[in-house]
Amino acid sequence: MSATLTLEVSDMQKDFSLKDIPSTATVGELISAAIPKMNLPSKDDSGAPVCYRARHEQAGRHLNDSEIVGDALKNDDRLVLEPNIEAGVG
Amino acid sequence: MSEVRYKFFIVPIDVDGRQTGRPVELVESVFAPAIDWTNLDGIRKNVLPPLTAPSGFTLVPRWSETLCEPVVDGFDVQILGEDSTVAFSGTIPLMYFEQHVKSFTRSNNGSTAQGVSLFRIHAVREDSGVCDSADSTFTVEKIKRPLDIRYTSFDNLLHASTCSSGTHQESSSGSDFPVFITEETIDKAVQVSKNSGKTESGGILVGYLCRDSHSDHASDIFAVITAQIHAPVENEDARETSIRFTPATWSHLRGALRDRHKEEMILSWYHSHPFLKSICGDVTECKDATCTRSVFFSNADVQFHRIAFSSAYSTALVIGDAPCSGVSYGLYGWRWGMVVKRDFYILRKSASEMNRLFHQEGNNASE
Repeated sequence: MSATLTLEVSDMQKDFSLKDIPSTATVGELISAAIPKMNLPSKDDSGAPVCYRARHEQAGRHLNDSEIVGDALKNDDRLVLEPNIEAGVG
Repeated sequence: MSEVRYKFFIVPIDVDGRQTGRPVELVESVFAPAIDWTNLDGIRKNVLPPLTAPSGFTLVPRWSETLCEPVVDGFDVQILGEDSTVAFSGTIPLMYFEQHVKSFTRSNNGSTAQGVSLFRIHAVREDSGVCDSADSTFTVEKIKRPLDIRYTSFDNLLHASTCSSGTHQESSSGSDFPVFITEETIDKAVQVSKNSGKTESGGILVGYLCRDSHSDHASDIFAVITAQIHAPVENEDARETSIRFTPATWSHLRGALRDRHKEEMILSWYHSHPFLKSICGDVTECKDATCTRSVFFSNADVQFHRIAFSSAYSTALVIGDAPCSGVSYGLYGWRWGMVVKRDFYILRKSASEMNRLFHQEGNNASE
C-alpha cells in the first residue's frame, strides 16, 4: 500500500482532484477534511450537521466511514459525495 | 509573488451603527456561488472559455461610499486567466450577504444585542506571500472540464414556446440565461406530484446546455430541459411538508440518468408543495384563481439547492397544488450568486422531437 493516494472526488455537480491523501485515513476522516475544501456546507442553517456518504464509482457501492482509504481505494479511483438533505416547506 | 487578499466579516451593529458583537469571518465557501455565477457570466459573454471551473479568482471589496473602508457595499469577483491576469470581472451586490447574516443570527441567538439583526460587512486586507491553505493534509484542486454544450436553433425553440410569465423574456438582456422546459416534462412532474397525494414528491430535471447554431459568433448559453426522473421516496421519509434525498436517492437518480444513454446533464430539480390541500380546507373562501401561495422557495429549499445544485446554470422547479386554483409552478435559479425566482419558456415539443433535435446524426455535436 502506498503512503498516499490521489482520488477524483465529486460533489453532485463539480469534480475535484484530491492529492496526497494518507492511505491510513478512514473514509470518514477523508470526507470530513474534503467537505470544507470542496466548498460544501458541513451544517445546515439550523446548525445541524449535513451528512455525506462516499459512493465508490468503480465498485458501485457506498463506503462506510470506518473503512480505511488504502484498503478500499486505489490511485485515481472516483468517489461521489452524496448528501442526505431535505427540501420542503420548512 | 505577493498578492492582496481580503477577509470578509459580518459585523453586528445597533441602530446607531455601533458594533454590538464579535465579527464573524465569512469562509471561502460562502463566496462559491458568486464565483460560479461570475464564471458563467464570462462564458455567456464569450470572454471566458466554457470550462466547468475558472483558472483562479480574487475577491475585491467595493468600499462603501458613505462609510468608507473597511465597510463594503458589495464586492467584485475577478476571474483570472491562465496568465494570472484578470480576464473577467463581475460585481456582486451587498444583498448577497443577506442569507448568511440570517443564518448567523439564527444560529447565534443573542449575539446580536437586543435581537437587532442589523449588520455591516467589513473587509480587511491580508497581504500574503504564499497562497497556501492552513490545512495542508492533502490538496484539493477543482478539475476544469469543458462544458458539454450543444448547438441548436434558439429561434426555433423560441417560436415553439410560451413564456411562463406570459410575456417573452429578452434572451440577451437581463441577468438570467434562457431556460426551456418541455411541456411534456412539466406534465410528467405534475403527474408525479398528483400521484403522491398529500406528501411531497420530487426528482431531477435533465437536458442540455446549448448555444445558438445560427449565430456567426458564440452566442449566449441557454438550457433545454427535456425530461424528468422522479426520486423514489421511502414510506418513512414521505412527509406533507418535506422531501428527503438520501445518498441512495442520488445513486438511483444518477443510475437512471446513465441508463437513458442520451448524454443528458442534470440541470435542475423539482419538488412539490401539496400542503395547501390540508390547510385550505374551505375552498369557497379563496376566490383568487391565480393563487400561488404554495409556490415559493423555502430556506430549506435554498440550502438544498446550494448543496446539490451549486453550478450557476442550475435551476429548481416548484410545483404547487392549491384547492382553489389547482396546479401552479415556478422556477428558481442563481442570479449574482443568489437564488431568485425567474422566468422560463414552456416548450411545446415532444420527447421524440427533442430526441431527433439532439441525437440526429450529424447535427448538434458538442463543441
